[in-house]
Amino acid sequence: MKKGLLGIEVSDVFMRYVFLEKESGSYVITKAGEISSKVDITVPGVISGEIFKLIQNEDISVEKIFLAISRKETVIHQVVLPKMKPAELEEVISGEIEKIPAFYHRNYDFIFKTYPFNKNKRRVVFAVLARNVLDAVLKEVENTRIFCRDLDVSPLNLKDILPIDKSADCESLLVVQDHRSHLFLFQDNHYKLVYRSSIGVDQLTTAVSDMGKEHTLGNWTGELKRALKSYLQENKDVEISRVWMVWDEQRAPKLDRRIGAVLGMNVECLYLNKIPKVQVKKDIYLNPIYLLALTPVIYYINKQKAPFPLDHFFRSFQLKKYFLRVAAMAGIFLLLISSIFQIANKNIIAQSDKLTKETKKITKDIVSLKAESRELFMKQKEYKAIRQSLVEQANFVKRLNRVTWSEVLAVVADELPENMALTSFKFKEAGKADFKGDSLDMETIAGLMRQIDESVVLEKGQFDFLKEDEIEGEKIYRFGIKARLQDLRKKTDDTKKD
Amino acid sequence: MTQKKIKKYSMTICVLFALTYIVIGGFNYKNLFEVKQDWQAKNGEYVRLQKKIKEIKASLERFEIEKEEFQQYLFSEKDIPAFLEGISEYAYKANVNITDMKTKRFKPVKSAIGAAQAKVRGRKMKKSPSKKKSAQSKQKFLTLAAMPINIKLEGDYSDFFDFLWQLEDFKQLLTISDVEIVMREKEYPKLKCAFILKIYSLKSLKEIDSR
Repeated sequence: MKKGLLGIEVSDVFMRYVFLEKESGSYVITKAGEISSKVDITVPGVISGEIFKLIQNEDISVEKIFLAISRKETVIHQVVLPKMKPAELEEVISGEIEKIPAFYHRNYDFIFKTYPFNKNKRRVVFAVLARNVLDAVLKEVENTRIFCRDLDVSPLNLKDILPIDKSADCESLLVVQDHRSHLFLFQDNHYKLVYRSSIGVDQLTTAVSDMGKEHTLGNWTGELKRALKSYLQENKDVEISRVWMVWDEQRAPKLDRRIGAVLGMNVECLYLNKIPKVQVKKDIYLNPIYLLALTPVIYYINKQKAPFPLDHFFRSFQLKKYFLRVAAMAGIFLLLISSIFQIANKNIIAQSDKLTKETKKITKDIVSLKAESRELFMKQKEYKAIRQSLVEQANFVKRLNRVTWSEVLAVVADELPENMALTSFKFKEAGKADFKGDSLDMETIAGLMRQIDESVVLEKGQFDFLKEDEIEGEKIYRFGIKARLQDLRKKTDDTKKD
Repeated sequence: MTQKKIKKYSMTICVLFALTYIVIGGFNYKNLFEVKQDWQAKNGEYVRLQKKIKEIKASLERFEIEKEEFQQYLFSEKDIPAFLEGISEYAYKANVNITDMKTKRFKPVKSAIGAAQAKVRGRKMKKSPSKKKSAQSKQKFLTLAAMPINIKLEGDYSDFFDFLWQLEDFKQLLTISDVEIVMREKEYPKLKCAFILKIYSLKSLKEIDSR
């Protein structure tokens, strides 16, 4: 079974419907009709029950529902107000609504749109809907679990789907509903007049006698005539080319002709097949009043924006849903973010804790290692001192061994002049050398001094003493010489270096 | 309240929460960074300390080896009697007569710097409240000690030369100082010779003190 679009108009007396299916790329009205519905729609389950019954009876599968409401709890009205800010305008409109007896001390929701009137004023067209009816309808639609976000207050948005002749000066639309009727004049897509009459098809058709019916019709047409005459007198340059008429043709047949005759105007019945882009199955009858149920569907099919937005009344209803959805999304986002951050933070904190513990352990280890190795450091210090001391002592001893005594004795024996006798020689540790001896002449002593200066083991020779003596009548010289021992090892090292 | 406002408020709340988490995360990360730096510093210190201890141990081992090597050129306590006997043997071989030979006790070799250090060490030891510590330090402190042997000889010049030549050829460290050769007219060519022969050994200060 193909899914389709279901448009429903909820009036005081009927629930009228049209059902459209998509066939080869365009929508076709396959079913239409009405159900008598004189029940209180605010009672839970009434509308949803009626919808389910309709779906079942017609054996249709509904993809989307579009609602149009035209009841005594809905009012379409126009006022002319000075130019003001939107917020102020809303307040003024609220005041105007509260002047309507049906909405006095009653909760309501409204929608409005402004049109130019003159330089300082604007024409405000508004539709108001009782809150309890609105909530009940929305809740009931919600209960059907069929998607619905388009709600029209009939016939507020009908103007923009009419097959208007663009060359026409001013067009008018007469919508006769069950308990009231609306006369609209519009030009250049702007409402010029919205006239509401409390006489509808019910009043025109349910009078007891024919005379009574004629009387009601006469009053009503007279009312419409006066409204039109009044407007035309105010706007003398305006000419109304035709009157489009929407009414329950079944209950009031040929009403269009009667109206046309009374008003003296070309009244044209607005059949559904006159609406652009809408096809109708051949074998079904379409009452012009079904157009009210079709209006929101047309906007959807044509992807056209309605002058009075169709989702307006859903906004507050949707707001809670939207709020919950946003809250859920925000919650998920926060949960996600907090999870990510918590995992990251947990890791960071765990890492910090681990490092802190390790640092503490290392600090402890350092302290204990320092304590354990204190002795080792002291030992090293001591050993360094010992080593240094030993090196110095060894160097000192090395300096002491600067001459080999065998070599010194050999040199002394070799270099001693022949005419001389040494009685003693001493070599001190500090390197001092003392020679004492006897000689027969001074020349030999002088020769010894020269030898010392040129010696390889001695240096810096100088006399300690020199005195004359006689032994067995022979004159001898006793002498003492001081000298220094040379460092033979140093010399050997220098030679090696050379 | 409109959908736009709800969206705006929820976005604001989300952003604020995210910012709060970012701030907290940033703070924690900063903390981690500091902790990590601290850990790296301590770890570095620990590694350096371990390395230093290893180096010290190696240097102490090296010192022990050096000490062993050094001791090969020095006399040990047990070498001394044999060495003194050896002197007599050298004298006999060189044909010199030892008239007197006196050994003295070991004394530390005093170099100029070593003397200054010993003075400081002595002062420290005096200042140190613990006698035990001072004794321990003395026990450990090794020094190069010299034992002087005063030797007097008789013989002729060439015999002295031979004797000294043999001594100088000794493998262990020894020094000869204060050599004095005196001639007696009546005894010529016999000469009297006196000198100080010093042999060296490694001793602890305590060991030296106890002698």
